[in-house]
Amino acid sequence: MVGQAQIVALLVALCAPGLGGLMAFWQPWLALGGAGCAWVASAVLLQWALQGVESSLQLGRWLAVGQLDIGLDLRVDLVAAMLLFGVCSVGLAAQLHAADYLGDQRGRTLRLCSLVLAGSTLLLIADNYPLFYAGWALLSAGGHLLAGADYGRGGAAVGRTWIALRLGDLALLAGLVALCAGGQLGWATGEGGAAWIGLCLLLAVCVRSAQFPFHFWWTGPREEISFAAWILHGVCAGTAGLYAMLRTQPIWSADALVVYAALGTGMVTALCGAISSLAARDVRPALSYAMVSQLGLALAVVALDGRGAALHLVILGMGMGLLFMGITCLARAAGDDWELGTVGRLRRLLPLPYWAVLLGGLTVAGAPPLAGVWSYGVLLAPLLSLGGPGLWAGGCLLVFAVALCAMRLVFMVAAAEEGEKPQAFRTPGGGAQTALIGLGLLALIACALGYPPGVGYLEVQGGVLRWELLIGPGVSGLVGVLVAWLAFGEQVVAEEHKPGALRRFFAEGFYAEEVLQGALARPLLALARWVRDLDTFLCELALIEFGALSLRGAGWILGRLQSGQVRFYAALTLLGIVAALFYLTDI
Amino acid sequence: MEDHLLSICILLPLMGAVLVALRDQVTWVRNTALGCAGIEVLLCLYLFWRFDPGAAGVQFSERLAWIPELGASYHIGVDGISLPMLALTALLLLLGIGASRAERGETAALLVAATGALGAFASRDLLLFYFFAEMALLPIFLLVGRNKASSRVALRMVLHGAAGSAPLLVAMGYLAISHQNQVGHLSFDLLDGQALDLSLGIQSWLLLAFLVGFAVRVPLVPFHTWLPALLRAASPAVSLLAISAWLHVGAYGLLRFCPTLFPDAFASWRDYLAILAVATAVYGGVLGLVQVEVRHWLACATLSQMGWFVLGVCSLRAAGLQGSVVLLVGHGLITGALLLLGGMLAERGEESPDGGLGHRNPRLTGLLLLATLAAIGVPGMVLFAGEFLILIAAFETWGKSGLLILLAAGLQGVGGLRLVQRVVWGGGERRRETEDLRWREALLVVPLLLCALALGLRPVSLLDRVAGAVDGVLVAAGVGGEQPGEE
Repeated sequence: MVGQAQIVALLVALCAPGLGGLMAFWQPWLALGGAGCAWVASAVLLQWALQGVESSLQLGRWLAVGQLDIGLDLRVDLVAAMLLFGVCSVGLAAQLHAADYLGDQRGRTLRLCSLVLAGSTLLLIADNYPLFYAGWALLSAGGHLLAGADYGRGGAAVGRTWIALRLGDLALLAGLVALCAGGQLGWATGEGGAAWIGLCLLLAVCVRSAQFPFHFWWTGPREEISFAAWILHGVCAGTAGLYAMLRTQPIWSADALVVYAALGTGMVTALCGAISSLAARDVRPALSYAMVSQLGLALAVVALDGRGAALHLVILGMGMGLLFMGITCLARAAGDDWELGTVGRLRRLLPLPYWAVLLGGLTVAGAPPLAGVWSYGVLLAPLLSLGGPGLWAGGCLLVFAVALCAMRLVFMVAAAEEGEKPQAFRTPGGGAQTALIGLGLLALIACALGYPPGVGYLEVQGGVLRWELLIGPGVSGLVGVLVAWLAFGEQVVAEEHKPGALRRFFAEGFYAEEVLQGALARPLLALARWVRDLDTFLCELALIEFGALSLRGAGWILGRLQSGQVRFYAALTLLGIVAALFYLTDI
Repeated sequence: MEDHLLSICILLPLMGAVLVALRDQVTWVRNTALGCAGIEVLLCLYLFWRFDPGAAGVQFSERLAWIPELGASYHIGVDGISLPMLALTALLLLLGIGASRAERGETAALLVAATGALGAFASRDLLLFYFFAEMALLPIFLLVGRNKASSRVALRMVLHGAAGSAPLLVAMGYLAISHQNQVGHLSFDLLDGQALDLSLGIQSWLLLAFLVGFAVRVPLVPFHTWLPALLRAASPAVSLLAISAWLHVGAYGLLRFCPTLFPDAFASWRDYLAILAVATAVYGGVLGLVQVEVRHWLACATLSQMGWFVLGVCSLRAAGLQGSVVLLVGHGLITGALLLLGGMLAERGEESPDGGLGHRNPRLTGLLLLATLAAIGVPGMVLFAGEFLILIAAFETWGKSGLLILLAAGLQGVGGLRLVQRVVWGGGERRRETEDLRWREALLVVPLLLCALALGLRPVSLLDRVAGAVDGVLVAAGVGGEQPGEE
């Protein structure tokens, strides 16, 4: 009975988002139905996984040549179930939110959210590398299209997202092909791989989970996208990247170079993301960089031991989802005002989104007794056991930094000068208020997750839950909250103030995108134009014209040979004599 | 009747061409041609259904004396490699007729070209293959060169065609004469050619001649310039058939003849050919970065994909060869869809990079995005299956160097995105409104994309049919299974 129910749950989780997205061509709200079904299925699968029951299903062969037999195999263990639940929860909430706000863009955005969710679901429940890659690439395609959901906005975000994600996709494909060619189709179980495979995988993970300097695809889109829907892609992409890291750990963990590269990249990302978030005055980059910072912290820890990362990613998804969606409610109500100092001026008119922002900020900051403190404790525990007290203290410092940038947003929203109700004011949802349902769902899960499921997850995983390890991150988070309150609790950013060069440097993410463009994109395009011109010249002019000229010349000679003119024969004979002389005298 | 099913399949379009030529009336021309093409598709599906993947050798075989003095015979048959190509050609013919303007001359020429392509795929005799391959080319030359503006393109195709065909014919003749010297009579039969005992030097020269012949058609750099010019000058209907008559026949010939007729030379030279293949793929990718029209980019993408194809053949592994066949089928489906979409855009004046198509024509945009994603090898579409298998084979054969072709995949993806980004997104509001996708246009494009999707989700259904024939090629190439005659 359980077996059949597992099959049904797996199929629903796999197919519901995609089918919902397809049916949304007919009625947009059917996408919500698909996301809802997937969420229920993910909750059921998580429940079984917490009881130690893995769900698996084989849907037949996919690619089979000789000994290479790749099946459509699905499997959900505890890590996958946890992440699936997190992704489906944020997916449902983001779609509910998007359905409320997007007007005539709603249908397309909901369909694309469904595509992102479908890709994410597939990669999480895939039981072999090729199928995992299929989900990964589907997620890329969905994210790229989601970035350009509004056709009228121009395609800068689309290009940025696609090019970066494609780079990661190909790096992952290179690594996975090497693994598959070596006969390792399923998840790695203990054999180490070549260092270059590990580096390929790490590059893919860094791009996908928006690590520095590849973060720009995630932090760049601002005006062009539906901001609340973008958190869905952020959570899905971050989850995908770190899930790949977790699943391939036996391959790269044997190589110190890869481990240190991942650790270093994660720490740099966490630090730079926090700095950029603190320097930003627009809510959207501030939130995006806060997310990047969190993902950097997660990568740094996964490099050493990833047992706690899954729980942390889920809680991070909830917290950041609350922040993104709550602030979007406030900003939209204020007539698309995204300025940090003023975005919260209608908070009294919109108390529920405001409370959602507060709850999300505290969750992300790891303030006790919310779920974040558990995940930070477990996340940082390997730093102490494997890296020593110094590294653990460094981790706590990063927790302080990410807490500070999350709570800065909250306090600046709270400290904004209250304003009049504008003419363009609209409450979320108007009639249905579905956006608030999404926020409520996330808030409930964020509060609840730290306890029975979270602790249960740790017990099953065998994670070391030492109470003293919770104190460090907990205190770091609380200090972050306190410092944020002291620094930003009363401050209102002056609108006329022009930021300095250094601040702009930080706020623009250290100009990483510009550097990459200058170093790679522009030279490549210049090369392509040069090759095009050369192609035209060599092939069009030299090859074709020369070929045609030669044929015409041959035709002329043949014509002359038949003309009977003595002069021509004489000239030809003379030419032959000269050639023979040259040949004979060996000149 | 069933004994001659393959002949009926090949000659049906030719009969259709004769019927079409009888009356110059649009309804008659369209209905007759569509009827012939529809029956052709059904016949190919029947062949697919009756084909036994487990049986060795060719099926539906027929053999008649053709030119006994030269040892040429009408020897046809299909195996797992030629059968998908037959079906693809029939489908492209049907859609090409659907997209054409139903002019008598054009329609008859398309039908004749299809006969040539179908015959070439089914030929088991070298001279017959040559005859059908040339038969497929001539109508395309005539169609392209009909108006003055594109006469230069036709001239270019003639030059390329002649440059490729001449060495091919000479090499085939040499093989027949060698057969006479060794066995006592002339023969152009493929199996007889494979049984010849040729020195490595001779094999190398003959292989070079075959490679030149097929590299012009595939095309490989530097013989590629006819392709962008053709796609630019020809109508979508002509381009569809040209893809089948030029590219696919050339690619099929390269896969079918080069490794099997000259196994030692191919084994010696395949590394260099693989380098040329990767260079072609990367070259196509780089060129594709700066294209501003769908059909121009499509030419570059085709160049890239043909590089993948040749790399798969050069690997001389089952995964590579099967991947190449899947890639060829996928290329036909997806390129066909993009050609038709490019034609629709051009018809509406939307091919220019002003942008804003997404606003004005969302349905057309949706199909264009889907087809572009399919063309750059997104999983779930058939091209990914082919590319993945070729990558596996390339890695097994050349190690990390084999993965260099991923560079082409990256460039192709970026080029495709840049193109659709210019066409789809942005402010094209100031331009006039154009009609969105019509149902008749959707009927042309959607089947191709659905086939690409179905084969992408379940490529094993095609791979199972291809496997036996690929094993045969590998055995003939001396690298797989048991050698003929061994127990």
